[in-house]
Amino acid sequence: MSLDKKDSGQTKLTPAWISDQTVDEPVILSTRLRLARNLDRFPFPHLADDKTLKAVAETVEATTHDRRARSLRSLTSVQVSGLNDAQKAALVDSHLVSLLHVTSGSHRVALVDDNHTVSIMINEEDHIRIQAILPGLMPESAWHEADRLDDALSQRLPIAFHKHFGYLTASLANAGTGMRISVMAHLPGLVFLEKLEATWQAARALGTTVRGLYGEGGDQHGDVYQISNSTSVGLPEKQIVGRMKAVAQFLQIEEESARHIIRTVRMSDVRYQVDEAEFRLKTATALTASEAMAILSTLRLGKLLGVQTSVSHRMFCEMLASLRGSVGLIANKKDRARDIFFEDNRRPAKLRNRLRQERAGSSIKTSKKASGE
Amino acid sequence: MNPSDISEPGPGYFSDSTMPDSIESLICPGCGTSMSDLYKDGRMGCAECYVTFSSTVHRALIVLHGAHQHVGKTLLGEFG
Repeated sequence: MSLDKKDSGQTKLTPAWISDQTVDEPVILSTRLRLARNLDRFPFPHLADDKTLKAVAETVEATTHDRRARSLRSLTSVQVSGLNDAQKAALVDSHLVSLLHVTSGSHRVALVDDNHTVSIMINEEDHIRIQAILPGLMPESAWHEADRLDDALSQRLPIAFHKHFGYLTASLANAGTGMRISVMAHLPGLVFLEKLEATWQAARALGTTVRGLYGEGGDQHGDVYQISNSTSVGLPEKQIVGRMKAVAQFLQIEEESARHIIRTVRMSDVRYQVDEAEFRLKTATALTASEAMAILSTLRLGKLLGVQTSVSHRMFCEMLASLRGSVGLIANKKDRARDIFFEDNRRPAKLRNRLRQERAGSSIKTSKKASGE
Repeated sequence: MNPSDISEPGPGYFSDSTMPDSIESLICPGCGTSMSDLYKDGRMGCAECYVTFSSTVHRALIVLHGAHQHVGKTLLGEFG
């Protein structure tokens, strides 16, 4: 996998969950499924010494050289511990690896496919974390992708498994199936109407957990929330997948009905908030990732409700993955303040430029349409 | 509500004041993890911990998941 460096020295990544969006106005931005696996006879990563971590990394990486394993052979190995902070942030913000993985130290390796759809994190909380991330609501396909890689790995590696407890993971929260399926949902309508609390209560009753964008303890940005299954024992994988799909569809209906209510009775408030967001963006000299995403979310809600703004769905996802919200969480203590200062100061111009491009793109489309091309 | 308020249970799910001393003093032969390590960290040290602390794991899984028996996928291939 290549991490493209633009002229500005910034690292750019466009994973398939952003570039392959097929639905115009989705509430669910992406579906991600992770399978936690460990190798038998090795201590789990938090107890493993350097030599053990290295042996685990080499053992798992070696499976990608097996000619009979097509799904594994197509993966490219990235030595995560050797990347700089900007490259690590690009991987985390694109949701290809976790924050824990890039901040855990040496012998952390990611195996990634060319489309950035599937990846295997080596030596994260568990020795192996298989991940599939797809655009929109695609839980069955995400399961299929991850399951395929899991089959290929388990035919080649001694995976820790117990007939009663299932897959043996470092945290008991992941035991059993070792599966965590999550959807990333954009819910500006529910936030606007202050209806999230009631929605979370219903989602929790259906066996799900709500987290910030970067997992536990992370902030949420731009009214984007991550909803995951809270149990992994006592249910087969397909049933967990089915439940998550039902919860995501429930969120979709709730958000769409919130947007309908706003369209009917609160449009003047939306227009006011859009004006305010545009003014803030026009005059800002520095923006935190949270502030920038809040502005984008307001402009996106405006566009969804028919107000003239230029924030397309694709642009919203791209910004979510490139505003470097994770920089402050990745940089070491010494560089943290400097890195945050740098990113905060470049965000306003980055956003304004991207909006300008978006406007230019839509005016070309409009003129082509008018001339019948 | 802040969504980060709704998170997974911490290591507290291992705590059990009625636990007999014989279990309290168990140490995993695979990685040296003790019961007090489990209380503190909340994580298993290796695959063998599941066998060593099986009765505790059993209880913790019920607290966390409402079930203790895996009913999903099983291993494939020569290692399965």
